[in-house]
Amino acid sequence: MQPSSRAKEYVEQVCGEIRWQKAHAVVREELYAHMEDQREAYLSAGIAEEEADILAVEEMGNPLETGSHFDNLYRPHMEWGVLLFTGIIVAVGMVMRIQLLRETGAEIVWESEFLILAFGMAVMIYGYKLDYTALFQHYFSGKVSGVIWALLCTLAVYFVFFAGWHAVNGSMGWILVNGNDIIFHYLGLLWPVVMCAFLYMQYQKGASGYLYSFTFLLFTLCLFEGSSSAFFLLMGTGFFMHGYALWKNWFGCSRKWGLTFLLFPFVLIVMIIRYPYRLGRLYAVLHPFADPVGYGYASVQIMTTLQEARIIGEGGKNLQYALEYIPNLMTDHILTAAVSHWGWVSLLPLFLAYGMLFYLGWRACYRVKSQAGKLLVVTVSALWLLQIAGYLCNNFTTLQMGWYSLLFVQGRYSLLANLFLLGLVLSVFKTGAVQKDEWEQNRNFEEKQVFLKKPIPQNGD
Amino acid sequence: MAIDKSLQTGSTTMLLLKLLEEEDLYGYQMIERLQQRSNNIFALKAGTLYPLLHSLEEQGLVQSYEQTAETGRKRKYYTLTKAGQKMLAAKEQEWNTFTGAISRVLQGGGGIATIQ
Repeated sequence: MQPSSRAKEYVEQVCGEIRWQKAHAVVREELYAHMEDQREAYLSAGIAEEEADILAVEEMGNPLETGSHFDNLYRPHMEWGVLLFTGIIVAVGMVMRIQLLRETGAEIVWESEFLILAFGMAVMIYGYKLDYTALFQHYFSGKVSGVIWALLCTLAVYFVFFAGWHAVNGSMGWILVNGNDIIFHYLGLLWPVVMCAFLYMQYQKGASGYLYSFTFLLFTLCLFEGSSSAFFLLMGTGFFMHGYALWKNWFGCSRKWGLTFLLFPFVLIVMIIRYPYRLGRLYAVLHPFADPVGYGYASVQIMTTLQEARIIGEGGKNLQYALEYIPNLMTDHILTAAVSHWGWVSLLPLFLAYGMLFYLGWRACYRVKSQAGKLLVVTVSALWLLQIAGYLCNNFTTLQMGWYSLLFVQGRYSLLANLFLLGLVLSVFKTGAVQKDEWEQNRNFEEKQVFLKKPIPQNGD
Repeated sequence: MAIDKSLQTGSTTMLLLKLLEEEDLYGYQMIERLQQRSNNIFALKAGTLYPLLHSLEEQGLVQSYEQTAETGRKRKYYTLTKAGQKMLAAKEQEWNTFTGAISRVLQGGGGIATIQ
């Protein structure tokens, strides 16, 4: 039923006091519902309709006072803790990196360091201002997602059946830049946002929705096969985000059934390791000393350096040794360098800050009401955890692979991409308490409960 | 009998949490229930109730969910969280201590502990 003009006037007066526009919807809806209940109570008590309208509004109290209370309560929420600990990671990482570079006598280009940080800040603010709701609810409509799916499917079929991953070192020839699969490598950091939006479009669409999203993941993996780092990162992130959706019963299908499908991408690993050079690398992971000057070289040197590392202080194999014998030390193995020079304790500040970042992020996620927002936080967290885990493998195990830079510590493109993702995550926290999904607003409770196979509570009228 | 509003201020949170301890309610039900139980002493305005409920939700003491009634109208129900239960227990204890002390003073008596 349409609210009366008096009720509308009252609600508009309340909302007029609330400066944050995004909070208006949540306040408006509840106040209208209350006035409607009150009005019905007066009508059933035999009061005339006109009189009931007036009394229902009078019962609400002073609109300016109410609006002022709401205004104090609803402000865009900045998760300062998350921002602070990201800043700490960037700062600790920068100090660590620059100090190590100094020790090795390398030249430090300060202009470049600060320029990339300034760009990073701008990109983060852009992500924050862009707002995830714009990405999920406006740009990524049903039609757009269908077109992207069809395009991805076509490209995946082309690569699997026609292009045949023929190019150098398994990378696809047409996207090679200076001999590296650089485009897919960095696109792998942003693509999960598209996967996330696509998965969200299938929310509550049953098993077929799940399969639709699952095929999107498979096509993605086929497309990104040229870059093993992007392939593994996307596979892991896809596993987490689909696992989360199954756990939260988004599709109303059996979790075991869904997980069985989800394990299928691991079969694709066979595809990615079928090249001789990758098989050689895999063998070197298990037996690095079998080929100490070939595939196992980096692993052997890292193990040798770490064996003589101390808890505090310079190890038996110092930084100069590491610099001389470990390839790409200052880009791919900066943690190994730090351990060899300062000892294991040097990792503590950085990893404490990472721990705090994830802890505060998860705590803030509890306030988020939108399923789309929660999924985005889960996706980005998984992406970040996998980036850190992969880098740790490169630095402290025999598993050597071309991986991403250390999260928020190194890299240019990866730092920019991760700061953009941070901006998006902060935009989720900004509107966490007031932003609801469109799905929530359009579907009624019984439909949801029947779908979720939960009993409908007999509560009140 | 009219009650000085300042006496009610501060205890409203406890009263709302107490109502929600029994069952999940929506705003209108809370006002009605409070009025009935207090013999019309507590007549809470909706304009006071909702900012308070939203604030309790922000603090994690209550949670809300939507439910559509048979009439097709959407209701926003509030439910007590574990943190809310703890807060209620603490508030009740505080209230009992406070009212006990007031009563003793009004009755003109004094506990041995107070004299010491």
